[in-house]
Amino acid sequence: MSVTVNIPLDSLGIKWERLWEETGNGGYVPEGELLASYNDVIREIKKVCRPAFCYEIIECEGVCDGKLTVGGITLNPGKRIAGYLEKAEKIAVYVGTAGTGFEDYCRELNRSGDVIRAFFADTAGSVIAEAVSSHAFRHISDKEQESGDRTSFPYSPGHCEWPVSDQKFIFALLPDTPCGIRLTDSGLMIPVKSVSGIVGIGKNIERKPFGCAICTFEGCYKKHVKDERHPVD
Amino acid sequence: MANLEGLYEAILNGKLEQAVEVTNAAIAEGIDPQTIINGYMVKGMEEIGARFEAGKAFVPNLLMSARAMKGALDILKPLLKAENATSAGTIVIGTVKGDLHDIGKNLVASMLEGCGFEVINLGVDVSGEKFVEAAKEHNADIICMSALLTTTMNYMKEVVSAVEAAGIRDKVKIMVGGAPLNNDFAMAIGADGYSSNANDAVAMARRLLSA
Repeated sequence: MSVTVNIPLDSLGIKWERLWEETGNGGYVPEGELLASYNDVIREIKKVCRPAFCYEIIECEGVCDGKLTVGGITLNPGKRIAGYLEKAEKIAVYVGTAGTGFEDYCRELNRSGDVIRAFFADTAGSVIAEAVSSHAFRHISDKEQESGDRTSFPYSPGHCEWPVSDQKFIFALLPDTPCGIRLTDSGLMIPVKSVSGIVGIGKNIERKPFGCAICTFEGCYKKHVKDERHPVD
Repeated sequence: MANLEGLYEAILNGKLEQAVEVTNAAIAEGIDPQTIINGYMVKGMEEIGARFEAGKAFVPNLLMSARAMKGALDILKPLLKAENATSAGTIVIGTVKGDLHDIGKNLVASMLEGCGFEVINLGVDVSGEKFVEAAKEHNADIICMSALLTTTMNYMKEVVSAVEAAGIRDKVKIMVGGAPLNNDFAMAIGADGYSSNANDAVAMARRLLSA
């Protein structure tokens, strides 16, 4: 049984004035005309952005050789992530999004040719999507802890050794277009500012490294962000 | 008298109105457009680019400078044409088929336009056929491709093949960029260059066209 949760944007705890530090632009502070544009964009985002996430908790059928079988579907997160989830009895599969209203706003900015505002909105969208992912993870963890279970950290296709092409398996485990998110043949979620992931659940599961700590992508802007955020630290 | 140092400052600080104002004043005084561009505007862009590379300026600063540069260039271009001057080059740019990420490609397009290139922006989800058609139609010097997914970056190789099959590979350079890419990937698929950011893309485009 899937659960859909709508989240008021304000409750995501985004520090709009520190947004740049979150995106590898530490040291940048908009001023003058740019600050006015930035503030306009944030005002518009607050009007149109409707973050939400959807998740389903499914029995874990087995973990073997970098593969994880859930609900009759085999995911391929790789040996490292699969190893971290060996003691999982259940898996929470989730997707989250900044919403279609936000997507429409970004498209309109891009269409208008206002690349500066489009850049501000895109940057904000990335932060919103990550905040939704953190929120979903906390929500799932809190619920499971109430029933005496422990949870792993969250892991997502596209990170570490887990191919983006596995997005189709994540979506196969959820209802059609969860939170209005659809998946293209290339594994791209639309709205673009969407996230997906899994969380291991079990009495004996331990929290192992995740996110930047296990990412092998050298070119990522987050390699330059000193203050790495972990949602439960 | 036109304050051409003020034009340099306007480009550097991304002040569109000031850039346009000084440019108009300079034209009215009969100052050679090429002198205005090369002596002041290009230097302003070079300085903001250097500051960006040094971590002392950020993407929005680059974009503001490019906007000011483009505003002034738009005034000067008709005069340059009268003197048979040409643009820095013509570039067809797009995000490859299967990928809908827009912003990185648009940042590069803005910077290229700001630096005097003619840019034909094909948008997102662009097929090899479309890249080839546009390159032929606009007599492009460079095809510039973007991808943000590991699942779509491989399509770049198909575009390179389409350009070869169309018989225009010797006429057009190919540049690629996007988060999952690197120079090794660019070379492996037969592209001519890779750039990791909008500022570097301008330098790469110039290098490719001067080679």
